[in-house]
Amino acid sequence: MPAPFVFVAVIVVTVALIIFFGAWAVASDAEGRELNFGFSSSTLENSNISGAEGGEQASNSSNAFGAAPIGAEASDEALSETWWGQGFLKACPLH
Amino acid sequence: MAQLAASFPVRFHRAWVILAILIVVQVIGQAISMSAGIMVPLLKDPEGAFGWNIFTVSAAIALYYLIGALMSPVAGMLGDRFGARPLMLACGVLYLVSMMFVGVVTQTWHFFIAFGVFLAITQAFTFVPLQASIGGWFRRRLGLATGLLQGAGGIGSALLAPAVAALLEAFGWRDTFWFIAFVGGGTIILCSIYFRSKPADASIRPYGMRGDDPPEVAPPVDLLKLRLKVFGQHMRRTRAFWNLPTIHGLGCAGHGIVLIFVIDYAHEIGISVTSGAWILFFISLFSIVGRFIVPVLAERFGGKPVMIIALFLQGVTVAVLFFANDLWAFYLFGTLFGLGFGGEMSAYLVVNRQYFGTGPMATLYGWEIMGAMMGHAIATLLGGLVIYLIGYLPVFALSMGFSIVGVLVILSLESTKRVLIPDWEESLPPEARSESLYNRQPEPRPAPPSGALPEATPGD
Repeated sequence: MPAPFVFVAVIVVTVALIIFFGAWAVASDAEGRELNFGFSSSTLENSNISGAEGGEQASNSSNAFGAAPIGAEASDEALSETWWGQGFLKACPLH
Repeated sequence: MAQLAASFPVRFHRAWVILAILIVVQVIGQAISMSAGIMVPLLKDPEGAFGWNIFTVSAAIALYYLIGALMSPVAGMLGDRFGARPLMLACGVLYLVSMMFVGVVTQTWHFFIAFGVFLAITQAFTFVPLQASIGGWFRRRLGLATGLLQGAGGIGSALLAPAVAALLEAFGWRDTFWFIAFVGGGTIILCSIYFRSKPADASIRPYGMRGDDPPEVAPPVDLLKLRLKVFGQHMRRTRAFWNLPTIHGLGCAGHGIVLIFVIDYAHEIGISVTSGAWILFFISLFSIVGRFIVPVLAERFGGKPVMIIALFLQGVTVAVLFFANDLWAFYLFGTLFGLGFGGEMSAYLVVNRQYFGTGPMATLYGWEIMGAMMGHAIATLLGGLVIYLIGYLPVFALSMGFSIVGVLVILSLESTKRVLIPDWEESLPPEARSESLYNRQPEPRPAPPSGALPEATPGD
């Protein structure tokens, strides 16, 4: 069976991007930012399985994933102290 | 069914009835994903009946995508093994029970189970084996049938969101979801009565079947299992098997980012949310054109070049956003992007046929849908991170990147001009091959002449 190089390469690069940007987000100084990191509504309101179909549902929310106003849904816990924050930092060799 | 067909003034092949049933079921199934966006504000409304934390609701919907992605290949395998009809019946029951459950949720864990697990499974079963079954019914004009299925799905998805919203406003949470449960679930169950997984189940031949086409067979269970196993082994030896889900994932990540963030971006540069919503309207409207026309063109000219054009169009049109400052530019973007976006997603059933012939295709389609759902999940996650760290325009560059990488992966695919595994049956023992099985089964009714207008199949 031929090795699925392209498939594996895309998976590896995508996971690497998520780890890199995730670790960057955790490592960055959240206090100096206008936006705080966290889930917000438009993640949900717009996500769709378009291959399987759809994908056009509009959101009336002006927030985006990771762009919730400070204090709206933010936790007081430092990101680097959360289990997933630590996971990003440990997994990324650049942060 | 025979009487129904006979009573129509224009005689038609039953495959078109099957297509109509699939369209109805697909539109009903889309109420699940369409209702997700509408129920979120109600669930997180601090003044409302729930007042849940957005993270809780987000986690439930993330679970929905994860379970849906994981269940898609399973749904495909079950479709190949048992046929689409029993799964359609199961879908109807699941739909009814799950939507009723959603209507009475009071605790967060109720919602996790009802939406994140039950409806995710229902959605996977609604899409994968049922859509894939269309391939068995159409030996010719599969592109047209797929285009009609996908295009109607696009129209349905555009209409369902406001319909669900209106129901919620008029009747409230419980009554709305119970209404959807009974109407949707009941309709799917009713459809399953008239549906047949494959033409052999109705003792007819597929639409457009010619004398030199490989015969359709209905093997006994043990031989069916063996045929599925050997067919899967042959498929996995091709690049297409691995790369098609990858392409679908990249394509969905590419348009997922835009669909999620374009209104936010328009709002950021001073366009009202109401005006911004029209951008999505244009995307939806022109995606219907792409959804319909791309499978037709893919069948006519080959799936590979058409997929390249659709995905390239999806990718490059995002560049318009870098220069868009006025509303008309966003509408232009929506129009162009919609064509590519609609086309990106709709040709897979035709391409699967071109690569793998008339073999059992639901499993492969399940892997492709898994790629699509994972692509949306990745788009949401990665897009949010990039916006948080850098801003909107880099995330649109990321979207272009996903689409263009998808184009490069398509270029690495084999040509769609020939079936990749034409001799897979030679790995089967003689008694499990189509020819042997065909000679053992009763003679089906004659096929309608291919290329002609849809003709009646007398009785079924």
